[in-house]
Amino acid sequence: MSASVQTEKLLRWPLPEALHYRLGVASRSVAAIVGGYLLAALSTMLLSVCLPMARVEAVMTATLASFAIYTCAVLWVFATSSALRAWLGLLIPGAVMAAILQWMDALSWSLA
Amino acid sequence: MKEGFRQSMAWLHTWSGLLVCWILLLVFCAGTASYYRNEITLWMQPELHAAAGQPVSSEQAATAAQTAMQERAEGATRWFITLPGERNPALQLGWNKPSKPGEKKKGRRGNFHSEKADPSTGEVLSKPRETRGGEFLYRLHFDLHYMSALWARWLVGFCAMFMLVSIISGIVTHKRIFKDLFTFRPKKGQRSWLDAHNVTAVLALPYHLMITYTGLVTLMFMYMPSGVTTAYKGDQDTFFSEAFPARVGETKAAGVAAPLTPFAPLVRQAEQRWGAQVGFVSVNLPGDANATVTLRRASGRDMSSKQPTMEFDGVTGKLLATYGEEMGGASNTHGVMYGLHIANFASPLLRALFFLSGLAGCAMVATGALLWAVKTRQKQAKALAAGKRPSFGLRLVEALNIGAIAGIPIAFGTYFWANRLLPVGLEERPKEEIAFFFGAWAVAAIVAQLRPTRAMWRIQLSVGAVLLASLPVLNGLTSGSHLGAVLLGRGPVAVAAFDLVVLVLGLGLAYAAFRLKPLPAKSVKSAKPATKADVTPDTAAGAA
Amino acid sequence: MEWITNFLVFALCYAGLSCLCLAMDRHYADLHGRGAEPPLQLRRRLRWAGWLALAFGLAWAMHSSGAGYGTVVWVGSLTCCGLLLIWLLPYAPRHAMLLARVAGVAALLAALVLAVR
Repeated sequence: MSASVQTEKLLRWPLPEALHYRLGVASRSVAAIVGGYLLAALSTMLLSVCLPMARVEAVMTATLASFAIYTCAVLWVFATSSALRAWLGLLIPGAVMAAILQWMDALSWSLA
Repeated sequence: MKEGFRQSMAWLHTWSGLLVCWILLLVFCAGTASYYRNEITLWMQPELHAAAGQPVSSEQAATAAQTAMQERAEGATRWFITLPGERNPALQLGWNKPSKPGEKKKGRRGNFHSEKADPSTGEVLSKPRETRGGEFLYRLHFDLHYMSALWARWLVGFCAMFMLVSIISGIVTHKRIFKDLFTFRPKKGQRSWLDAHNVTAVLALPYHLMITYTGLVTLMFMYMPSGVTTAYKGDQDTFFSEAFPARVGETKAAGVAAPLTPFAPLVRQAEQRWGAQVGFVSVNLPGDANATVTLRRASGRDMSSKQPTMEFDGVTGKLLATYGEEMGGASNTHGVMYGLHIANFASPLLRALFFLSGLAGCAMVATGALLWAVKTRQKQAKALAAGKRPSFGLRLVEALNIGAIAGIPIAFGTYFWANRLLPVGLEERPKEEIAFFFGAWAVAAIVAQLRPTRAMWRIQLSVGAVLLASLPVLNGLTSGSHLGAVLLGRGPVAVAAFDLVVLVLGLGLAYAAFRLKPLPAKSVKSAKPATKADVTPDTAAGAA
Repeated sequence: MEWITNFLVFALCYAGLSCLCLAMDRHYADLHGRGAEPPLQLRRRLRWAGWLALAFGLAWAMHSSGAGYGTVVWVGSLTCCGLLLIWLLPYAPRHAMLLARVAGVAALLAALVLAVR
C-alpha cells in the first residue's frame, strides 16, 4: 500500500485538487472506453485462435464472451486505486496478449 | 475509486446510467412495444381487421401463395413468402420488381414489392393504408431514425455497454439486495424513488441482464469483428458461410423457361422431416430452369433463432441440400441468445411476461433518472432556498427527464393518432406518420427545456394520458373493430388488447399527473415523490 | 388444460415469495405491528416453505415446457408475482397475505388436478 502511495506522490502533478480529480476521471474514462475495448478485442483475438475447438466455434465463443470481458475491464478501471494503475492494468495484459498473437503470426488489426 | 470498492461502483453506476439514460429509455420503450409489433401494425391497418379467416394448413397456404405470385409477380427473380403463423394470420408475399430498361433505379426499397394476402385464396387483402406500423417502433430501438443505420447501431451499442456496466456496478453496490428485495415505502420522497428503482431493477434483474447482453450479441460481429478477422485472416465470408450455413453465391439464370414445381409436396416433405411447420419460403429465379425453392422452419417453442433450411430444385422438386440441422455448442448458444432477445419462440403468456419485464426496464431507467434529480435537488436545497438558481446539470437533467419520461408517451400517442387521422391516400404516408411521432416529441422536449417545472410535468403527463387513453375511442370512431365489437366476437382480439393496454397506460399517466398536485408555496425542504412511485414509472414509459 | 399448468407455476411463485417475505423482520412487522419479529420456528418454517414452493415451481415449469423454456417462464413468473406482492405490501398487507394463502391452496388443488389427469 505505501509503495503505491509513494509512487502516487512522485507522479502527482502540482495541480489543484478539483482539477486533479477531474483529470483522473477523464483519464479513467478514456482508459475504460478505449482501453477496455482494445483489451476485449485482443482477448477475443487470442481466444479465437487458442480455444481447443473448431475454428468457427472458437470465434463464436470468443466473440460472445467479449462483452463480459469489456465490462470487467471497465469495472476494474474504476475500482482500482489510481488512474495510473488503471492504465497499467490494461496496457500490460494487452501488450502480453499482443505479443503472443504476434508470435503466433496472428496479429491482425483489420477491423473491417 | 479512491474511496473504496463499493463507493466507486456506486459512482460508476450513477454516471454510466445517467449519461445515456434518455436514449436507453427510448430503446426500452420502443423495444418493449416491439414484442407486439405485428399486433400494433394490425391496429394501424383497420382495413385488415375484418379479414380474420379460417386457419389453413401450410400446404394450402403455400399453394395459394404460389398461384398468386405466378399471377402477380411478373418478371421477378426472387420471391419471399412468409406463411401464416401465430402472430400473423395473413400470407406475406414479397418480390423484387426488376427495373425496366430505361427506367431509373429506385434503390432497394423502391424495387421491392410486398403485400398481404388471404392464406386460403391468395387474393390480396383489401389494400390497407400505408404505414410502417409496429415495424417503425421495432427499427427505432436499434436503427433510431433520421440517421444512418450504421451510426445508430454504434450509438445504441455504446449505450448498451454503458447499461451493462451500470447493471453490474448496480448489483455490486447494492448492499442489501436480498434484505431489501420486497421493500417499497411510498410517500417518503427520495427513499420512495430509490425503492422503486431497486424493485423494478432487482425483480426483473435476470431479464435486464439478458436483454442487454443479448442485445449486444445480436450485432456482435459488427461491434467485435476482431475474432473473425484474426482467426480467418480477414476472410469474413468463409466465417459467415461456416457459421450460418446456406447456399453461397447467386445462381445465374439459365435463360430457359421452365414451370415451377408445386410447393405443397415440398412443404409436406419438410414438415415430415422436421416435425414442425414451415415458416418461410423463398424462390430464386422462378420460372427459370435454374430455379431453387428454399424452405425455412418456423420458429416454434425452441429458443434458438437459427432455423434449419431445405433447398429444393425449383423445377424437379428434388432435395438439393439441408442447412443448419447440426450445430456446434457455441453456434447454438449464439442462436439461443439471439432468440432470447427477439423472443419469437415465446407463447402468448411468455410474451406478456417479457412485455411486463420490459415495462419494468422502462420504469427502472426512468426512476433512476428521477432519483438523481431528486437527490441533487435536495443537495442544493439550502442554496435554492437562499434564492440561488439550480445548477446547470440539475436543470438540464430535470428538463430532459420531462422531455423523455413524459415526452415519449406523447410521441407514441401522437403516432397512433396520426395513423387514424392522416388521409389514406397521402403521399409518403408512412414518413408523415413518423414525422408526427418526432414532431410531437420535439415540441414536448423543447417546451420542457424552456420551463422544467412541476407544472410542466403535470401538463405533459396529462397530454400523454389523454392521447393514449382516448385511442380506444378513436379506434371505435375510425374503424369497425372497437372493444364492444370484439367482445361480441366480431373483430381481432389483438386490436382489443391494444386498446386495453393503451387505456391502462393512459390511466396510469393520468393518475401520475393527478398526484402531482401543486406543492404548498413554503415547502422547499424535501422533494416529495412526484407521484405514487410505482405507478408513474410503470406507465410513464408509454409502451403500447 | 394448459392454463392450469401455467397457473400452478404462478401460484407457487406467489406463495413462495410471500413466505420468504413474511420471514423477514421488516415485512413481518408490516403485518403484525412495528418491532414484531417472527419466532424462530415460524421463521424457519416460512423459509423452508418459501424455497420449496419456488423450487417446485421451477421443477414443474421445466417438466411441462422443457428445461430452457420452463426456466424462462419461471423467471418471468417470479418477476410478475414479485411485482404484485410488492405493490400490495405497502397498501394492503393483509390482502397480500390472504392472497398468498389462497395461492397456496390453489397450487395444491391445481397439483392434484394435474396429477389425477
